[in-house]
Formats: sequence, structure tokens, C-alpha cells
Amino acid sequence: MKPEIKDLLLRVDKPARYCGGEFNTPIIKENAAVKFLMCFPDVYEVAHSNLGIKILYFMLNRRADTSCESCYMPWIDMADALRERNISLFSQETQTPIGKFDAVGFSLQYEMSYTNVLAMLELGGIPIERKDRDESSPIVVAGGPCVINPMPLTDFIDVFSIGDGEEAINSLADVLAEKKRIGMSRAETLARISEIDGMYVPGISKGKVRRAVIDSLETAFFPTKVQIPNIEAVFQRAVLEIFRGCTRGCRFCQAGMIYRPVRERTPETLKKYAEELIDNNGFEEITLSSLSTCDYPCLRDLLKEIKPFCDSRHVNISLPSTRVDSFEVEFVASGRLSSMTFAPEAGTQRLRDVINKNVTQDDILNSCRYAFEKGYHAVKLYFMIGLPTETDEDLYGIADIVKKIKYCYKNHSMSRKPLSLGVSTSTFVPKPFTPFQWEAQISLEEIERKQNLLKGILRPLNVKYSYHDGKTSRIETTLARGDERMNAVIKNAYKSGCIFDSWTEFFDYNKWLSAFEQCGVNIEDYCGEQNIDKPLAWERIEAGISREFLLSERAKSRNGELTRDCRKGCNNCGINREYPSAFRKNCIGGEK
Amino acid sequence: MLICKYTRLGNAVFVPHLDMLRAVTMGIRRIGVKADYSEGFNPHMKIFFGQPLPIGVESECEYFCVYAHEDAAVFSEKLNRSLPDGVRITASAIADKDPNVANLMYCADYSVTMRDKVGILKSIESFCAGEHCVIEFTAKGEIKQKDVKPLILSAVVADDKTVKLKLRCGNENLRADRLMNFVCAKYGIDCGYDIRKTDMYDAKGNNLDKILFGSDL
Repeated sequence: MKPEIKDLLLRVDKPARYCGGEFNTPIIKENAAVKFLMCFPDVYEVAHSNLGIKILYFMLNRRADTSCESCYMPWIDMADALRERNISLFSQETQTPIGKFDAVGFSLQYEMSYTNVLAMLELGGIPIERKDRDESSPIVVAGGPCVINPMPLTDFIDVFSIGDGEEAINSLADVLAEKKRIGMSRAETLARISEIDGMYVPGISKGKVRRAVIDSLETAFFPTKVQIPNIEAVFQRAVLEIFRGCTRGCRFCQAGMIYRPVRERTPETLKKYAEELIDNNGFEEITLSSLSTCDYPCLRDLLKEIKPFCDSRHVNISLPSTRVDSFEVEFVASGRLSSMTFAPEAGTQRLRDVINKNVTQDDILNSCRYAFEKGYHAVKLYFMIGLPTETDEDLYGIADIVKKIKYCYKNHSMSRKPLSLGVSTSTFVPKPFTPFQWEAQISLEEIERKQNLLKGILRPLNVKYSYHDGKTSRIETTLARGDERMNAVIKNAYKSGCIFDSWTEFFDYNKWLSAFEQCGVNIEDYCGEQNIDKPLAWERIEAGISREFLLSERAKSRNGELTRDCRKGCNNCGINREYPSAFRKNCIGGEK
Repeated sequence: MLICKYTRLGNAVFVPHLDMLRAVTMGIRRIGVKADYSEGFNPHMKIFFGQPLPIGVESECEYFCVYAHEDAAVFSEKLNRSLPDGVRITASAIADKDPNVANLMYCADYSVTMRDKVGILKSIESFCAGEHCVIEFTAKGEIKQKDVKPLILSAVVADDKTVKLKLRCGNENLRADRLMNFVCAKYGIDCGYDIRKTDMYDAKGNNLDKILFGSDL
């Protein structure tokens, strides 16, 4: 490490975020033809909790002709220090300025990280707008769930990699290698990239760009050796992705739509990966990750298979996003956690039917009862406010569930501790490619009124109530459903100082409002109800879910009509027609 | 119980104490050596570290103890293949009980390497030889002054790039980086330097290696 970088690091908070040298870092090939940089527009501890960038990072480094390094959003003090000393933002592994890479890829996991992308480009001396880049500039790529609507970022990103990255990243590296070999121009290179499945190249791609989908997860690469962060990550644990996609079809949920079809790994493969993860990484905890882990048909067998090995190595197993209707009773008995989390999302059965959350109050209470009998004494409940058709009655329903859980604890508790009950609400944000993509978001006044109402009715129940800031949710909607006019708004907001928008201490609503005003863009265009008869900005992308399916789901929601789980039979969402081979391999009705 | 001496060099100087502890624990879990865990709801590996080393200071003489069921030499050989860059076990031995390094240590040797030749390096020596050595430093956002004379056991300029310091450590502690920061600012030495802790001693002047491993290594 150069002395000036060492001295710089010794002046900032948590220098281990920037020094590199993580255990399990692959050898970075100095003479690789293609030099790729994987960026995450949030701090180190958040980035190291993300599985997607690990998959792509290790895939690229496995190629003989490619090296991949990483870079994360520096904290404010480091960003200031870099600017002050005129040092470019650099890669973790070799401290190479980020502008020196052939391609720089960003993982966009949440909309509120967009301004950080601009900040990282600028800190690296890369022109933030693609029109200003030249032959010497890296090609700026973006992937992750947010790019399912790439339109708000078309001024800044050269290439959007939409959908699964496993095959796309290799094809991209192939083109970049060829560019180096035969000396293709930037324009030629971008044109070649636009031919790759799932790649949307603004200004070049014609017609609809279809989301890339890999047919099978079983044969896809999975990193069982990952970089161990120098300081503790937000989620410091081994991640085993047991399947991708979700069969539930909750009508507000974007992930449940845009990762279709469900693709599972076999228990045999997962057992092997689990053992490798434990051997290679040394984490204290392994999480069986997916959008709805308890829906994995072989979950019991898998747990039984991996538990002895985990126990012998003192590794805890955790299940994320436990759904109330499939809480693993046996697992409760053997787990070491004291708290469990349920997401009923809505307070009444009527509203849960509207959103197709196939969970009843009895499901919740049964799960709680089992857990309490096993000694659990803490419950966290997640709800959404502002869902379509919601009334105050639905909010009172939340208090009703809370009361029943308290009563259940009184009757079934095995713990001497008092029940710790937390309720958390977020505000519904209508997302592209969901049945609710046309819905209005409730106004800021209405958000705050509902939050205050809940505060009032939950206070006497002795419940910890927390809620997401409504202003953030408003801006999130504009970014999620944004069209190309949002490019100017994002740039303006960034230039006026917006950064780390997902951090409450930095989010500045007024700066965003004035950015909208200065750009002559109306927030209501995005937060208000969208016209069903007009094409939507993101329909430039083909996600594989048909408009007819989304419209019929929307109509059913108004009548409280349920749609069955895809595992129980095909609902004809469009995947069957758009991705026939993935459908045949993974879905009911297709051959396994 | 095993007692191990380890280095913290290069990149590892940026890693805070608790994360260093975690890195070693993860290394032990990776190599699959059986270790004892605490009882209770949330069991932890029984492993004990010495005093934290300030961020930015290298060391050749850090110590930890762990209840691991493995031959000392085999343990360090295995673990050395599973530790981050700059962290390396350099000695290991079986001990009957925790020797409580934090309690034993009294003073430490530091070698300070200037990044460039410094003509006025001797001024550091004369500062430390004064009757009082009042230094100024920032701690928890506050500027503080302290006479550290009693904590400086010796300060010798070895050549025009090297200063050898012997400073108190443990309960009465003087951070080498604090002393160097202050004197360099005072005498306008701005080429930068690297600090490495090389040896630790008990109150009687015995090298800890001799106490813990029965030799000077």
C-alpha cells in the first residue's frame, strides 16, 4: 500500500472498510485482458451482506482472461478526504483508481442508493453522464432488482444488465475481451453488448429488452468461498441460496414477480454447499436464503441433513423471512434465537385477501403459540400502511392481532420474561411489474395521519411501534416508477447535496422537492394513480409477466379474490410463454 | 489451553481489536479444530486476547489464549493457513492456565521507521530526555495535555531513519503513535513514519516470550 493511502486511511473512521486484504480474496491477475470493478453504492458493511455481487465477483475472477476487484461507497469523511487530497476513489484489492477499469458495474438493490452511484463515479473522475464519456472511460454497467425499471438512470448508465446475471456477466466479459483483442471502439462495444440477452443499452437497444433468466439454479455457479469482511457486516453470516423466485404471488411484491419462475437447488447440492460454506468461511451462522424459505418442499430434510454438521462446528442455522403459515415448528425447538419475525402485512383478513397474502389470523396465532411453548418471548410484526383499499378499520385490525398475541402469550408462555412485542410499519410503494403497478401511493399527510393513529392505538398496548419515514417512501416511489425525466431530477438532487438517501440522517426531503421543482417535474406524476390505457415507462422492458395477468390480478384484488400458490398449479402469468424452457424445468405442469 | 504469539502487520493494522478477535475465531472455526465454548444461551469460543493495539501500529508481539484441543505446533501450522494477510502465529505452547498477558505486561519496545532521512531526528531523543515531556493529543474529540515523562523508559535514535522507543504499556500506557505524532508536529518532521511494536516485557524486565514460551525465541 502506498504511504499516502496508508496515511489517508489513518485519518478516517473505520479504515478497515477501505484497506482490502479480506480473507478469501482471490488472486487478482495483474495481466488480465479484462479488468472489471464490482461496485456497491452503499457502505462496506452493507455491501458485504449482499449475495449478488459475490456471485458475479467470483465468477469473473474464475475466468482466465478477467480480473474483478471491488469498491464500495466511502463514508462522508473518506469521500471528503479523497476530494481534499485529490485522490481518486480506488479499488479495494489493488488500490487502482476506478477510472482505470474497463468496466465498472453497480449493484442497485434499492432506489435510495441512486445518488451514491453518481457520487462514486464523480469521486473516481468518471463523467457522471454517459454523453460525456470517451474512449478512455470505463463502461458503466448496472444490475440488480432496481434496473427492472432502468428509465430514471438512462443518462448515467451505459449498460443495464436486467435479470439474472450469471450468464449475462460472462457474455459481457467475452465482449470486453474481444474489444481489447481487436481494439473495438466504445460505440462498437456497446452495440455488441446490446446483442446480449437481458442487456439494455440506452440509445442503442431497439424494441423491448427481455429480462435474462437462467433455466436452472442447480447448474449455476454458487460461491461457497466468499471474502470475509475486515469489520463485521450488517449480516455477518454464510448465505446459502436455496431457491430463487417465489410462488406466493403477493400483489404488492416486486421480487415475487420479477424473479419468476421459482428455481430450486436440490437438497444434495445444498448440503454440499453448506459444508463448503462452513469449511471455507468460518461464519457463526448460516442462513438458508430465498424469498420464502419455508416454502422449500425439502426444507425439513435439508435441515435434518445439515444440522449435525452445523452443530459440530458451532454454527447456527437461521431462516429468514419466515412466513407465519409455514413456521417450522421443529426448528423452533432446536434454534437458539429468542425472537421471531412475522410479516402479516395487513391488519384484517379482508385486506390480506386484497394483497393475496394467504395468511389467516389463526395461522399467526398458531405459530406464536408453538413458539411461546418453546420458550420464545419476543415477536416482531411487519405491516404495510397505505395498501390499496385500506381503511382505518384495517389499522385497528393491527391492534387486534397484537391483543390476541398478548393473550396467547399469557396462556402459553414457557418463559418467565415479559413478552416483548414490536410492530413496524412501512408505507406501500407501488412497484413496476406488480399487479399494483398502477396504484396511487397515499399522500404524505395521509401517511402521517395513519402513523399517528397507530401510535395512539398501540401505545396503551405496551408495544414498541416503529415506522419508516413517509417522505422517503414518497421519493422511493418516484424513483421506482420514474421515467426518463427523473434523470434530471436525480442529477439535480445529487448536485444539491443529496447522498446516502437510504440513511435517515442524510435524507433531505426538501432538497428532493426543490430538485423536482427546478426540473419542472411533478411528483404526483409518479405517486398518483397511473393510467391503465397508456404504456408505462418500464414497459420498455419485458419482464416475462404479462400485462393481462397483472391486470387480472388487480381486478381480483378489488374483489378480495385469491390466487393460488404457483406450486399448486400454474396461474398462467406469462412465464410459461416467455421462458418455455425455464418453465418446463421448474414449474408445475412442466417436466422436471 | 494454548497460548499463541502472533503478528499484526501490513493491512491488518487497520483492523480494530474486536474484529481481529473475530478474524482469529473464524480462522479456528474454518480449520475445524475443536475448541471449548462458553455455556449458556449464546455460546462463544473461549478465547482471550491481550490489550488492544492502536489502529495503524504494527506488532510482532501480540498474544492470545484459546481452549483448543490440538497439539500446539499442529495448531499454529493449520491456523497459519487460515488467517488474513499480516496475521501470523509465530509461537505457540500449551499452558496450564491463562497467563493473563494484559496483567503481566509492563513495557514494550517500538521501532519507528521514518519514510525519509531526517537530519533533526536527534531532537526526538532530546525531547524525551527533558525533565518533563508534555504532549498534546486528541482523545474522544477533545484536545488533551499530559506529561508523559514517567511513561517513556527510553528513546534512542539508531540512525537517521530509525527511532527505538521503550514505553510503558498496560495499566499505565503511552501510545507510541501519540508520542510520535506530537514530536513530529513539534519539530516539523512531515515525511511520515511507520511504527512497529517488537517486544513486550514484565515489570522485572523479562521478555514475555521467556515467561510464556521459556525462551527468547
